[in-house]
Amino acid sequence: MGRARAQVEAALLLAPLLLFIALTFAAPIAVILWRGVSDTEVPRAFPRTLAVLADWKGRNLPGDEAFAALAEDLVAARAAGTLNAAAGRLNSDTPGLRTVVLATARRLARGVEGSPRAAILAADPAWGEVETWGAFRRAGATPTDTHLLAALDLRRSADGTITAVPEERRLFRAVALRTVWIGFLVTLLCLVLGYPLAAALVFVPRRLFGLLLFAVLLPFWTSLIVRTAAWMVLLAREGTVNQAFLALGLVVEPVQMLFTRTAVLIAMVHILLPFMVLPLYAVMRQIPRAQLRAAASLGAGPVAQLVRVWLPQTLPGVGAGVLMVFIQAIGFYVTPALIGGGADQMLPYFIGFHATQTGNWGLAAALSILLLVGTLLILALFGRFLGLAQLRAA
Amino acid sequence: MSDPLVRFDRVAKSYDRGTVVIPDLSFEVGRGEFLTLLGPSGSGKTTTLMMLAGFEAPDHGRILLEGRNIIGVPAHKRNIGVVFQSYALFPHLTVAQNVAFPLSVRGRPRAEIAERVRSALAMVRLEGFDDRRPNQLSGGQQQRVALARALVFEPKLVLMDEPLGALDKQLRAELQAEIRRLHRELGVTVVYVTHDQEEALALSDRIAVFNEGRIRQIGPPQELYDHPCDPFVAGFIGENNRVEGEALGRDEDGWLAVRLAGGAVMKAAPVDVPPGARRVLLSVRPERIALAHAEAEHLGADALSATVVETMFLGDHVRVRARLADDCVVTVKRPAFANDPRLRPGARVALAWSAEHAIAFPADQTIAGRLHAAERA
Repeated sequence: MGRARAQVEAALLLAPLLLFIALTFAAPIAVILWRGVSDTEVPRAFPRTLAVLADWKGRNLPGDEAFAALAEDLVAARAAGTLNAAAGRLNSDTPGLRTVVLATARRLARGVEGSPRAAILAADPAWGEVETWGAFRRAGATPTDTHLLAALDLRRSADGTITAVPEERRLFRAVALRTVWIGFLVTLLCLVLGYPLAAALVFVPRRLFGLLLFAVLLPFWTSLIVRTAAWMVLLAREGTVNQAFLALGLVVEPVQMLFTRTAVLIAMVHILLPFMVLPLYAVMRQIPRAQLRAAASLGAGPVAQLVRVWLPQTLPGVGAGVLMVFIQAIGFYVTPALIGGGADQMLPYFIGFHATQTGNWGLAAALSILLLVGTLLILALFGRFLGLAQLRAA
Repeated sequence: MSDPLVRFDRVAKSYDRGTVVIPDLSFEVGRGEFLTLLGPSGSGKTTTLMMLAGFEAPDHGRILLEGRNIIGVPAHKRNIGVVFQSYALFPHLTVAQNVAFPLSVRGRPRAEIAERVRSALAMVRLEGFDDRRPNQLSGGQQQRVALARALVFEPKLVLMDEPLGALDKQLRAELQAEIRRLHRELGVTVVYVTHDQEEALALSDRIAVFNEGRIRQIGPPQELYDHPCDPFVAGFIGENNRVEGEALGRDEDGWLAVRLAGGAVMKAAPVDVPPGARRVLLSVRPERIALAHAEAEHLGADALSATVVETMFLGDHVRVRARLADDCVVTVKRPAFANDPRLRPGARVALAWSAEHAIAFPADQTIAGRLHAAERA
């Protein structure tokens, strides 16, 4: 009785926070996920065409009623102002389709002579191709796998088989691999730099400890953009580092540092290092000093103490640090966007690009899903090999 | 001591270039001996143990193990087993792996390790616990594992730093018996640190009483109990009453006559009392004081008159606290069967003890000791 009451009280106390999280976190994520598997622009502009195409097999050109419906939809959508968005959406499926759609609509708006089929084919021969109609059907279905496939450089042809997009249009597989690779490099660098630093925090005298901890935490107290901008100032062609190098005579002309992979790695490691050091420190601090003494008394030299007693006990911290750094690294947006070159952009950049530049929310959402699923996979992998209980302990 | 296993030779240690923990320490540990370093916290006993283990380096002096100076020899090459108060078991290893640790770092063959781990676990009565993790064991079991681990590589010397300090009373008694048995059966030399004098009395061949970085007295338990060399040892080992008095002079047998407040004159064995000293401190064990429900003057010159403050029944004995003429309160321990219902607070009683059970120390140990030392010099 008392327990049930306590639970109700706890739930009530948590309710405002849960509501806040539901509204500001869970709901937007759900909306984005939904957008990744749905389409709104094309169904809004071409309701009649899509209704007719619902029974189409996709092997031959659709019948006359499809052309008639298309002619009606094109004219109506042009008048209603929904055509542009739909054309853009179709264009991202099949490049060039925007022009085809807009030009045909313009022609038809001037009046249809003869059958709609003849008029449409006369406006643009592309309507005589099965794949053009396939693009319509792909863009109209909900739920649809179009965006998800596109995020993996795949597409469904008009007859429904999944094929890889042509070589020259492949992008996201390489971007995904690059994202994982940069995340891996950043994590590795953070581990190599952070592990000894965390150990130093445990072993240095009290006074030095405060100074070191301050240095570790300092990046937390400045905004990410400010830190990234600072790296731009430092690494620019006329920047501080180059000027120093020139003054010291180390180089004869400025080195290209900004907009390189190295710059991205340096800045990301700088920003993410505390996320490696702090969990490591938390775990290392809990290893009693007597453990190393015990190991020594039992005959273990310094190396054996480190490898057989110290290292294994820090593994939960390594797991937690690696996980935190890696997951954040593959989600990095601002830093690579500002100080990386074109070949250093990661998945989040393309999510942002499609959401804000091309207005292709479906693709942006699908890329987000890719990133989310990737992150969850890594989490599951870690949970399996390290044990989530250990991560929680860290 | 001929051929001691361990010898501390004028060892000194200070921390942070200031605090002197151990000014000048010399003692020996015999082969197969169980020596306990006993003292209050901060008395230097743990520092002494840590220097022997190799975790701390002395500033001066030599530490000899089997005649060889081991200063500068790192801990892992000393071949000395250490048992810690915190057990210091490795949480990421199983019980068997913990016990196997000293053998596997020495690169022993696998079959030999398995055999010795098995017999070490049997020795501490933990058969069948091989695959448990330390955190699945009780405190007593963990300390048994630590004992097995410190003994499995057959060191000649095992150090124990308050190994039972984290256990409750009953477990402590059980493990004390276990440690005694292991010491007896294995013939290993043990240096044991504790602040618990009962534990020291129960376990040790000899006890070294530490205070302020010095050994005040070293000897077998009973010698320390019966013949403490100074008031500190007298008060630290067992219970002791302290009664102030005035030294009157020595008789031909060497007994010192001491007049107590209220006029009674008692005899005592003087220890370090310089000739001519006036104030002395009598030290008498509670169980050595006889108590009678009677007026002292009826019992003769050797009886002290006192008033009962309180009487406590403690099962196997009764403690009576009684106030003397000078407001000094002494404790008397009587067998429970002699419990006398008349010993209520306020009751008039007579106390007495025989001369051989009273020790007279100079009242101000430090000043008297210094004067005494100056006289001898």
